[in-house]
Amino acid sequence: MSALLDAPWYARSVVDGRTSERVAFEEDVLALADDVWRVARRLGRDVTEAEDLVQETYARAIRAWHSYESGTNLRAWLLRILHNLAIDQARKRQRSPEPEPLEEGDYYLYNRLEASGADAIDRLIDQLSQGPLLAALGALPVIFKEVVVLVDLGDFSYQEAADVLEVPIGTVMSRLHRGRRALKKALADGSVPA
Amino acid sequence: MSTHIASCAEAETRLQSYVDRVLTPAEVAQIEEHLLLCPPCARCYQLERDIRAQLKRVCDEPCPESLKVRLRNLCAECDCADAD
Ligand SMILES: [Zn+2]
Repeated sequence: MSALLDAPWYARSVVDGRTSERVAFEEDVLALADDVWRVARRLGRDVTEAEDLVQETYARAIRAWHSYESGTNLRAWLLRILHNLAIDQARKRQRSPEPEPLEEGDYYLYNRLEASGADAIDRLIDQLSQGPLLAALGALPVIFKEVVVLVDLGDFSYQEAADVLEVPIGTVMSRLHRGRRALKKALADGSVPA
Repeated sequence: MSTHIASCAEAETRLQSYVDRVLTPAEVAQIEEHLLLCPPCARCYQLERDIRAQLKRVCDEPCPESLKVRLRNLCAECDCADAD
């Protein structure tokens, strides 16, 4: 206490050895914890894995905080760290490349449901609860899942998602559309008798 | 005012962009005209929106408080700071 009061003027912006700039950075990244958590929760296989991903993301962010350019998109910067961790993890876990979702028309789900009777659609809407939907999302290959999570859950623009994933916008769009199709296929497979 | 959407197949290719609101005003007008006249396409559009809304709802889970505390400690303890 008194040490702080006695401190010379130029040291007053330092808290526990951290500059006010650094403290402000910490506050800004901590304020994004819910956003980071929502993405990590979908990329990790369970709560423990999601927690590890978030902690490692923050540990890396703090170590690299000088490389963050003030005024640029902090959420995209932070999620890029998470993305790199998740991709590394997926690579280690799986030696062979993940199977890509089948190409099916966007109306695939609708047509399947139509074929199996009118109330199948209403039934699906009712069933779009936690279990089947999260299982379908969880089963997507990670590169498709990421885009769906960023755009459909995080309301990221194509450009912001492209910044996180470090791919062109066209790649974001094609992965997004294919990811959504795969999601609909998984829902149809799960809720409609084949 | 030349182009109408000629087929449901054409509507299908635009539906995703319509949902994501990245179409031009003219393209929006075209697809909305089609959706108005074509119940199956309108139903598909509704389904797209329902899936997305539900996805958001079930995934709307805040970061656990215990994890937030750990993150705060982790930030405060990191002594790699301020190495200008
Ligand atoms: Zn149509």
